[in-house]
Amino acid sequence: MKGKTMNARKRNKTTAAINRREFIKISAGVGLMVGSGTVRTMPTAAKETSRPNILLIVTDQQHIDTISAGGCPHTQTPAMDRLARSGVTFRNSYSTNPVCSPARSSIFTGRMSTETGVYINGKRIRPDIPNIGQWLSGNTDYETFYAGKWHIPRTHPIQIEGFRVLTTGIGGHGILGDTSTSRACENYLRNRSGSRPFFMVAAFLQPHDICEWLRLNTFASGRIPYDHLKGALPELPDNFQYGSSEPGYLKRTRETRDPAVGKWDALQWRYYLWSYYRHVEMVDGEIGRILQALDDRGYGKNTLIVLTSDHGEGLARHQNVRKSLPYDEVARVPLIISWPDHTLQNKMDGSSLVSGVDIVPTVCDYAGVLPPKNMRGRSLRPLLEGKTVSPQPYVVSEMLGDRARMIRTERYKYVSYRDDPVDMLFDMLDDPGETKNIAGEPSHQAAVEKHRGMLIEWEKQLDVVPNLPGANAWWRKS
Amino acid sequence: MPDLLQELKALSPFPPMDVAFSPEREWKNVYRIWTCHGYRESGNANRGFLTVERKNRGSKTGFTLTVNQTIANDQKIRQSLSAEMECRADALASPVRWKLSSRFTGPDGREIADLQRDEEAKVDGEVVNVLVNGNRFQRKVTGPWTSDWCLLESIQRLPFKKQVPAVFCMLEELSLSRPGHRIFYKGLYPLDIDAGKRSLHWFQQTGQGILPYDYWIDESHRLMIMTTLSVVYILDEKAPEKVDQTEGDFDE
Repeated sequence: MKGKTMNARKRNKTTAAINRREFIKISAGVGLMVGSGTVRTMPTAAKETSRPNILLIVTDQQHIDTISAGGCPHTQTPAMDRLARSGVTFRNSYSTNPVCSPARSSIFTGRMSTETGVYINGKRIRPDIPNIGQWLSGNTDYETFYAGKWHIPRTHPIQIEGFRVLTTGIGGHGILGDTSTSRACENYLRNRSGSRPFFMVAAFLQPHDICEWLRLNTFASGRIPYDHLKGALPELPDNFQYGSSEPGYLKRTRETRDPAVGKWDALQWRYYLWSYYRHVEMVDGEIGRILQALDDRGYGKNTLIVLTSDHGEGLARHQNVRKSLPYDEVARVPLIISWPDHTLQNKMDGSSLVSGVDIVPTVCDYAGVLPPKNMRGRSLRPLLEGKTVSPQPYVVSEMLGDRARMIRTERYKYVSYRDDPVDMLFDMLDDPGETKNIAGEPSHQAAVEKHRGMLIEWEKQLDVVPNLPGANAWWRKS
Repeated sequence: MPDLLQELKALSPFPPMDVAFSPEREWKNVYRIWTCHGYRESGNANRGFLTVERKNRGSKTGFTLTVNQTIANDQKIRQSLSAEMECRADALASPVRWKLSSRFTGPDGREIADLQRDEEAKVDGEVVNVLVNGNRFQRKVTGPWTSDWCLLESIQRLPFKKQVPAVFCMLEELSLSRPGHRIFYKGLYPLDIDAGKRSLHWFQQTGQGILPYDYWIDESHRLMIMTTLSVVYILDEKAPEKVDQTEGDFDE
């Protein structure tokens, strides 16, 4: 453990414990106090200057391979490129549950979605689990701000416990509302005075507007409305085709969720790809606006920036669009963490298995405070600073409430649907595109059993909410 | 497409052609900002308005564009941008100097004090000298460039004929640099609308960082409709009165 972090942990241990006991009593009032501008007397480390400001940027539905610095030839993303160059990019970064609200509940609490109670969209975080805004505002002198999409459960609430909400956004229209998010963050930073560190969340809706695009582009295949784009359309991905051995849910999703998509020809698929990449460029511009404000105000060198997304996007892989799927195009998400002169620079981490539950412990580590108890992830700080650390053996994603599980180890990905006899196992080293399901092959039964055993062991630690639908799933029986 | 907008009743009432309109003279266009979730009849709303006003400066070398845009966010938060731009009378209406203010108002209608931003800028060759909230900065610009707001003026001066489009950089809302943009003329688009048949001239713009913009211009060269995916700007002088101030909670 790092000396600086150890000291911070020692300093804050008592405070954290006291606040944990008091937490439920005070949590309802924190948001209002901060929101009304009341300055609270902080018991810990108020004068400490070694802790960075923290900017957490959350995009919505961003495929991991959409950043030009990461090798995407179809986008120009100067803002995200800058973060990648000045920090660490995690290539094996997974959503804890690849749909909006559940994934967000994990990002903001460090707990799995079956624990937070947000196992599907439209649920709220159970009251005894603090979000990171509540935790930092209750246990440190960080000022906490939120701009944009929340969706736990409401998409754009005006009050979020633990945060001052700067602005909201427009449901379904990141194309209009994301500018509000970035401008509110920018304007605040340009006006900001005072010496307390800040924790700011900029939660953008893009590139989620691809959902609107899909609804508005269900016309017959064979033509696109912009002839001059034909030469600029991306080629179809190598794993455009899908295998015959899939759980029924995946087949049904492909056939029923966007039925018009099934009738697309190659040109239409390529036009969809081109359009999706433009959505990514839109949000990159908004991110750039905030980075510019950080630089202009001199915060650039003392701000830890975390960029991630709630879930990915089908992006024509396996002929999928949208989310809620176990394939890597949806389950993996961008994760870039940067703090100039502190984190490694331009580092592409292609081996560490990380997920959304690692964000809260990481933020707390840099903020100099113990994280809430029962974290399911761990601080990524050692990895960010090039320290030797034992690798995380696996990460788990929950799906469709409690209907499916995905476990990813260094070599394999194993997927099981509760009510489906067809499992999936992919050799991620030999078959990163997940084109050949080897779960049914006798030579891989040992791997299947091993991964099932790991899932059962992992599930034992979880404190799932009462009355979770399907709580009798096999992974929870033993 | 305008016919789809007509079907969804987004265009009603569609203004008649103003035969006296001339893009080179002084004018004011007010647009309603209408959004569509793609569910056709449901979930659509007027989310704001945009006014663009051109005033000549007494010379043929330039003019002034004044822009006001208000967007209604969920939970009754409004974001307003106001800009006064001195523009060259070139093909892109390139801005040479501007003042820009950004404001937020809360659900109570009062301005949020620490979310204000005021900017003044002057272009000097490839450098833009910017004064933001009292702090000076320089931004670099290269090649032909303009603002998306200026395009709402210059598009009205383009000839109705196909030609090789120039490539330019678009400074979105005078702030976000979007390179590699081109505008194509697509031809005349017949439209059966409200009180009869109209024809609109159709331009398309593509480039980095945007979904394509489609511009629809009438015979008097007035920009009537601009669409980009789910957002539509429709000429409507009563637009400020029509903003739907819903609390909003569109579940995605």
